[in-house]
Amino acid sequence: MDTPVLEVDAAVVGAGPAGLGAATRLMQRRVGRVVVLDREDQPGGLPAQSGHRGFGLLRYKFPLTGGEYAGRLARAATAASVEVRLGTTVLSVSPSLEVVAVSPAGLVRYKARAVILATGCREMPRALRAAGGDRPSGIFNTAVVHRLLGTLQELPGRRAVIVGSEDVGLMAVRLFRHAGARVLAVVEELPYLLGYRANYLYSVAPFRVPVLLGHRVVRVVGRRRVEGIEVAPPGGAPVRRIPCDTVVFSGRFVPESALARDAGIALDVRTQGPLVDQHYHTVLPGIFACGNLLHGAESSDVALEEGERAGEAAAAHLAGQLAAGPAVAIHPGAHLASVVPQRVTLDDRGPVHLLVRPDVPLVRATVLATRDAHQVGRTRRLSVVPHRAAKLTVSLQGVDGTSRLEVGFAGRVRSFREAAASWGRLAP
Amino acid sequence: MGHETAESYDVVLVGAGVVGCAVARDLARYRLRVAVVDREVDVGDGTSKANSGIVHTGFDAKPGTTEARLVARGWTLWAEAAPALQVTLEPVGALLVALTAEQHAELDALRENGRRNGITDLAMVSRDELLHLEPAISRDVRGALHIPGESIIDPFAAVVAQAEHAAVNGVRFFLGEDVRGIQAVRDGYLVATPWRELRTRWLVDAAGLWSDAIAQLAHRDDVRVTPRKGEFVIFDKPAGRLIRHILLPVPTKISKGILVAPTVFGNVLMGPTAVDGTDKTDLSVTPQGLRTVMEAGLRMIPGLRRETVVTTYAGERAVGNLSDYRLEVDGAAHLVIISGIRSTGLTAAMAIAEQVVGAMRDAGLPAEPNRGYRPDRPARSWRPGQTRPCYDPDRVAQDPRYGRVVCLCETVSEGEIVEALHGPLAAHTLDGVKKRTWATAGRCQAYFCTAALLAIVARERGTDVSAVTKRGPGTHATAGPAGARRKAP
Repeated sequence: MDTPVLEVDAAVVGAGPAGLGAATRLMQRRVGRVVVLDREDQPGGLPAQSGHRGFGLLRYKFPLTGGEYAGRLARAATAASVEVRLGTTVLSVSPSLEVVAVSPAGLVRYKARAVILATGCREMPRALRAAGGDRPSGIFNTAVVHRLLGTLQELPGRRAVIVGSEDVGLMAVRLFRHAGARVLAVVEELPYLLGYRANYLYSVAPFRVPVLLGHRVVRVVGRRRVEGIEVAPPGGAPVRRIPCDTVVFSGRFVPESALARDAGIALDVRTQGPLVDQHYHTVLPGIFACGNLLHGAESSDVALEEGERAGEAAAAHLAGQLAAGPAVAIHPGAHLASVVPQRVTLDDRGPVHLLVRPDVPLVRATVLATRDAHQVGRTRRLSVVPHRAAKLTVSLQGVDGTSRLEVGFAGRVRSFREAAASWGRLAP
Repeated sequence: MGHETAESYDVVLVGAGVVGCAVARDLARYRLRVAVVDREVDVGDGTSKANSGIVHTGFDAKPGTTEARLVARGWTLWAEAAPALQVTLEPVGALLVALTAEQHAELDALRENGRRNGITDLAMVSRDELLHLEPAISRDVRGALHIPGESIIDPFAAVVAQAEHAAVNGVRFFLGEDVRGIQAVRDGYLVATPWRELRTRWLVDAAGLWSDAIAQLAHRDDVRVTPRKGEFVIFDKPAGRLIRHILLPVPTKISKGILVAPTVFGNVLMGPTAVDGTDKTDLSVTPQGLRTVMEAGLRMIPGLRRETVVTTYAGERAVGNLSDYRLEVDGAAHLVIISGIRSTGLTAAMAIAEQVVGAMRDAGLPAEPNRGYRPDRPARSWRPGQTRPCYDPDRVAQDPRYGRVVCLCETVSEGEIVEALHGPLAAHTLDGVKKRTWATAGRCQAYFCTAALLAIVARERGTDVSAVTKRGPGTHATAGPAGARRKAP
């Protein structure tokens, strides 16, 4: 049997905020036929799996639950006549814009004129976090916890330790408590809290769960089910064991970029996501990438905004209006961990929106962009942390093929004393 | 339970590792009642579960030993049996790499050692040839010895396939039952597990790390086994482009050393360490062990430094108190002891079986042919090296479950998972499904698919999700329905 071929104008891989945003925008630009392919049985990506509130603060100025947020995006897509095909796993994307996908209904080869990759990100598995020890049952990521509690109504464990203090880690505390389980500690390797303080106050503090800052996970203990976790406190204090039956390795999101990589799209060594220009155009003409695939986890609103911009650009590409002109790279300046996009194509389509992450936490910092040492963009003073991007808009006026663009941070590295101060307040 | 109610067998094997399953499969050719007992709930869950996945030629074994002879014979038997057993075996060949002048000087002796073991196709490879054969190898190399016969194998299927083949030919498996006692009775033994007593004429101790304990139950106090731990690192599939052969270091007096090898699944494997210990159940990975592995591996393939690690694991080899294999067939006592197989059991298993079963027959084990013998193992829908069913439009059309991809990283469909959960030696744990389908073994390490997988296992086994385990009692994947206790203790 030959694989049936379906011709579409645009194929979007992933029905999370970025993918749905891109598809909806494409339809609003009257592109024709747009399909969104997603392996899950419901649209909405990660928010759809999340019951807690706090989604859509930027977009809807209201803290929606993940499900409500996903629902709004899905309804907008349906209203714009986007075809969302669920339970459909994309197996490959080719440079010739063919997308092969399979579902219980069969294989389909989509011949597209533009492809948008929005495959999101995932949490780093345990082996990459240098946590040695036994390999028992009872080790999870937060995404698995969400699915077990949400889809299966099943408790992952009764006494949990959360590793990592990003927002997903903090929210896992509340999740466990609401499901009837205990949380013994949140363990954070760095000397400061990574998630929003508001999240700490909402999800952790009410349950009097200690946050152990500056504690490194040494090993997991337990031959069959987890029996405990050993952590090394800061300053060389003796390793201590926290008895528990569940360890959740949270956060440390990495782009799910295998599909892009296998298509032959160059990846950025800093982000491990596809290399894109300001139009979210990858190195392969007609293939765009957006959302958390580009940089790891940002808020859903950031992914949605990127998706919409990528949809806009893909529509322009289909109309033959997107310049394929020369591009200049954005060079790393002081304290830069990553920047998306990594390069800009020289055209007159307006300012460039950058997401910039620092390599260390900085206080009273500004993000600074320069063209040949002339300032072309800067933010107001803010505090920045490595796992969350700062936004900066840069004008391309005066940039030509010989310009050197640089983005970096100016500010003071947050001192350990400042970090330790917050640590003192956190550990109840 | 009294003797009257005991189930009666001609042969009871203790240990369902690669060696025990090979012996069981060999015995299944005869009209015999054979049972295999193992403390783990799946076959191959001891030493057989964590190894390098290599079928050795035996070129480096000590000439004249039983091990050297059986490794070489085992290599041949694997090459013959792999197709019918549907076990993926790829003769990629090995390069034994010299990184220093001293090591380079040793290659000739290793080649001569191989020749004495009957491996005559070894060839010297110059530095230039080596750099051509392995473009990503360290520029420090001086040369290498090419061993064309060294092969990579699916080490999980190597056990499951033999066990399944034995099972379809009538061998009974009692898994998850540890042997609590062995009693010598008239004309045989009574083997007691927590659930049953098995009366048998012959007892085969193939219990690997615990073969000393089983031997002791049979009143043999001279068998000793100590564990030797090996830690491994597995790299994500893109690293597969960096190597083509199994890359072996020049062995030292202490160990074969840390190798870098492709796997049949498409990953790259690095390891193992060799650390003698006392705790046979210690499968923990350690920072120093992993550092040792990485340093040694990166000396050969520096480019792996930039590749992503998928997982790490450790295994325990069974080191005996003889310098060679212990293969004893006591015809008078009807007792067989197979012990001290260390790290070569995967290669030698079928040869060990051949020798042991031959000796049992010589000692009077009746050997009437099994009339209903099935030469092949039941067909599987996928094995490593083949395209997954989800890529095949016909198969998805025949069974829509092949169109539902559960494990994204390895593109394992619901159809393959359901298949693993049924049949003569069905998986019923998460590790069992992983070993048979490679689901959850990919780059995300079960981030995307755990919940879906649990639901499928529970549904197919007809249990609650809370009853699903990773590898048997005490390894429950979850802790019961959520919200059952609103107030945490």
